[in-house]
Amino acid sequence: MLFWIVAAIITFLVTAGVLYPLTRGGGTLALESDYDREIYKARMEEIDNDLSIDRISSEEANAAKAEEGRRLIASTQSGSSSKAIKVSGSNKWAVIGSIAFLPLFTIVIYLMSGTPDLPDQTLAARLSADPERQSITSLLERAEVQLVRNPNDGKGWAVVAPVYLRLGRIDDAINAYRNTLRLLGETPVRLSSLGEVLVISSQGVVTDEALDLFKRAADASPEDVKSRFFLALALGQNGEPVKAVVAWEKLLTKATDQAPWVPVAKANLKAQQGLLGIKPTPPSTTAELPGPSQSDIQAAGQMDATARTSMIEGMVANLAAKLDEDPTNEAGWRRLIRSYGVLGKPEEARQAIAKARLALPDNAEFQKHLNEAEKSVQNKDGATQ
Amino acid sequence: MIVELGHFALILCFSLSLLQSVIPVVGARQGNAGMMASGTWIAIASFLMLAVSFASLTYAHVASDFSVGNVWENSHSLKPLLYKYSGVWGNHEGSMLLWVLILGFFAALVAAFGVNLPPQLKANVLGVQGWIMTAFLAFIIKTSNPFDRLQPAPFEGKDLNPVLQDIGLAIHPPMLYLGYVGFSITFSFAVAAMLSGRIDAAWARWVRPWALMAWIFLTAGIAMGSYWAYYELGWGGWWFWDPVENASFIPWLTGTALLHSALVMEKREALKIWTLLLALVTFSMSLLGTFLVRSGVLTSVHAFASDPERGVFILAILVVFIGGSLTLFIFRSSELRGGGLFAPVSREGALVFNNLFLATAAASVLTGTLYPLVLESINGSKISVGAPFFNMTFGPLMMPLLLAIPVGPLLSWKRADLWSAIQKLYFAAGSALVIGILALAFVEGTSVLAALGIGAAAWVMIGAFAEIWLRAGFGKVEASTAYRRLKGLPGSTWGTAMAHCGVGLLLLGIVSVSAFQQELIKRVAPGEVNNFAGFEITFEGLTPAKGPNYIEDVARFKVSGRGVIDLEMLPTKRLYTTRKMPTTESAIETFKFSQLYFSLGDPEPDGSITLRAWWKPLVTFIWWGPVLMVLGGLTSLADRRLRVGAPKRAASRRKLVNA
Repeated sequence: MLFWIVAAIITFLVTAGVLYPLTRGGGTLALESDYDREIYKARMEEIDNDLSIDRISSEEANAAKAEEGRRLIASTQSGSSSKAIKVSGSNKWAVIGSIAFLPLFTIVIYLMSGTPDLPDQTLAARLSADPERQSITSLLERAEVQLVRNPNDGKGWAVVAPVYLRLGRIDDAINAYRNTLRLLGETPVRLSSLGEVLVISSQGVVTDEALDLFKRAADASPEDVKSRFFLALALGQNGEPVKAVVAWEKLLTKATDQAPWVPVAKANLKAQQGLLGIKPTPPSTTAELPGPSQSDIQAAGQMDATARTSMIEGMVANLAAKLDEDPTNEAGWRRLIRSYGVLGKPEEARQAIAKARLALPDNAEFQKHLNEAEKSVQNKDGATQ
Repeated sequence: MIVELGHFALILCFSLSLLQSVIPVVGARQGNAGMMASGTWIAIASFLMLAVSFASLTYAHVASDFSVGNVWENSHSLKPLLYKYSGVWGNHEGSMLLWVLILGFFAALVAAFGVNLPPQLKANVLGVQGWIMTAFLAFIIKTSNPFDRLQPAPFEGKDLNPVLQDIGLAIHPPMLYLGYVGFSITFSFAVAAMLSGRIDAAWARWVRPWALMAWIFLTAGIAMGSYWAYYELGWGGWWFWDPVENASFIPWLTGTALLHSALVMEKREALKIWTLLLALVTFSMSLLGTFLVRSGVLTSVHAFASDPERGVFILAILVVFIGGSLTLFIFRSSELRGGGLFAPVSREGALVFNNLFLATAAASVLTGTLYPLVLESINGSKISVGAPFFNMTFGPLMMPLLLAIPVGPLLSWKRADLWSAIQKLYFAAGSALVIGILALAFVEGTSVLAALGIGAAAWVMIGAFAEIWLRAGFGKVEASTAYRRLKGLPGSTWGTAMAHCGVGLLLLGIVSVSAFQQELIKRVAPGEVNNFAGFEITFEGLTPAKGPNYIEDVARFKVSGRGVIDLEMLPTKRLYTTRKMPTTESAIETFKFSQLYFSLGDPEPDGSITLRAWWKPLVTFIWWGPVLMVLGGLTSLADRRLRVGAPKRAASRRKLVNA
């Protein structure tokens, strides 16, 4: 409000200043020829001065004076310079125009580009409002100096990287995460953190480099949510909605609703389902073991036969291939066996159980689970036969 | 609120400049005194609003208000206070605001101090000034608004380009703009004269002080920019023929020509068309310079970047103003009657000679600057026209001009005797010859050109004061009479002599540095001693240090010789932490008028570093010359003869009654 009051006062004063000469009326003004006479007088003085110090001869002085005199006569006689000046002509339109135009035009243009309600936010003001932040910048600055001196300080890079990210200095954050990774070695968290800033810097596109980082992170730790989140995103961006839907749902079954990424994941899931023409379903909360979830199967059920086959088989084949590479993945085996069970492929299920037995012979609890699974497969088999 | 008020004031100024474009011009057409007078008030109000606007942007920068996009882009909370101020115009938006602030400043000057101008002329001048102002304010508000806000405000700024964090930046652009934009006044005078159709000796007399003022600022600005590049860029060069430099130099050349031709127009009413054209061209060149720098068509050391929208907008302004004024010129120039006649050998003739060479030089610099751009836009090939082109074209053009400088002021108006003028210069010619021969002996015949150059410089410097010496009549009349005459000489004569002498001094500096500079480029290890140009230089090692927003490695050198013992010189390599940008800070030591200049290459892990050292004899004359030129300009400006009084109102009232 104060802003508008001050702005109104300024506008009023300026408008008044513009109107003053327009409304004054009855002033006195010299003729243009009077101005010429002033010049003539000044020139005469100059010539006399030049003559007095012998700068010019008296002949030259006389010639120059004659020339000036002729010029003065010429300018007085010519129409333009002896025109009388109207002291108070009709200024009505200028007055009305100024009064209307100045405030209106100014305010219209200002409202198009200004933000009258946004207060000043000086550094001092923001610092006193939030004292914790002061320490962040000064810490960061100190750390930066240290890092310039000792660029191989991996722990230092690890400290500043998230701070850069929070300050929006993405390029610095990328650099810091790269250095962390290079100097301290790979962990799933470091891999997926670097991947994350790369995605941010490329406006949300999961680049090949980032994709590779996420894959490595996910391989190293199946529990790493961040990498799975971005892998799901990448599937969507690569035009593989079927796989993307599966990945998002898998991710969401593990999530608590409080996790900050959940709304994004849900939105993505919806979008990908939209692509496939599926109505969104609430994620299954009953599935203890992540496999093709209830909704996956439902989703598959609503697809045409080819799409269904490709979806399921692609997924299961992927899992099987991965387990061949890394047979120690217990959760993977559980998922694979369960998948075969759900799909009604007892033979494959039995083979998987056998492989799993060999892969993890020392895990007693897992062996027990395998036994139960085998029984359940046989039961189902018997029921169908 | 302060920031938003600045924004509001800027837009209010835009409205005002629209009124200024119309009301005084219509008033002048209709002979309406009130409307003409309103131009004065509007111009002053506009300037006040611009001042408010600029002050509020400055406030935002100094207080590090990162909710203002412009501050966030170009400032940092840890930046030293001085650079928070200079950072206001160290970026595109801020410098455009400075540009219009200065435009408004000159309009306000004319409004406040142009009391001796006929009302019609003044109203038209202010009107044209209003047109320029309107165009540039529209540009700022549309494409480069410095008051755009960010919500939420980022916590820390991105910092100013380190190359620009320098005391030179604090002074150089405002000074340059004062010169650049100052020529808008002569442009407005020319257009106003063409609008009213009155173009005569009186006009030249009214416009000359304004042209001189702009010329003084521009001279100072260019010289300062040159010194800034000299010590900040660390290459030891003082002029790079960089397009941005050329952009300021071309208006200087045409502006200098304008000063001289306006003299002829005032005294003899000759060269009217040419003077008018120069007034238009000079500001057009300033606009072109603004376009080149601000549109980003150049990539040069002046690293402020830009985008195409802006370029097209400025190009449109350029086309409208240059094209419009030249069209008007074509229509009006055919109506002009010729003025006083003069013989080829005369003061007028000499000034025409001066104009011819200055204009050709300006054209050659313009060609060298634009040719690469035109070529690139035609077939995409990137070439650079370097110093050799300019030295080959500009240098030879300047030589006859320099030789003619002492002769011109000795010629009389209308018709002169060249031979007697040259005879009067026997002393200057003789001294120059002796100095040239001495120089030749001194350089032991290694550089005949250098000896010639020194002789020419001596000729210009001594010859510059020949007129004063002769007018006073030293040696011919009694000393007391001579002294009386000396005192009676008008300030403009002194100003001319000083400015011309400054040109000679500049030439001497250039010749001396080009011919006698010594250079050493060497990797030095700590403890190493080198002998160079009469100095003993000891490298003591690198010390890390930390500044407010940078860290640096300071190289410590001890220098002995030429009258100093163990002088410490500290060139440094800096790294600005926010932008990760390294810079080299040179170390310069002045010995009378010569300088020892140290700059650094990259440090090696073993503690050694590449030292680049130059001994530059008489290098400071390159800047003392322009300083003398500026002082000459000021002396001439202070000359009361340039001031013409305003007519007394009492007299005019009587006439009005009679009319």
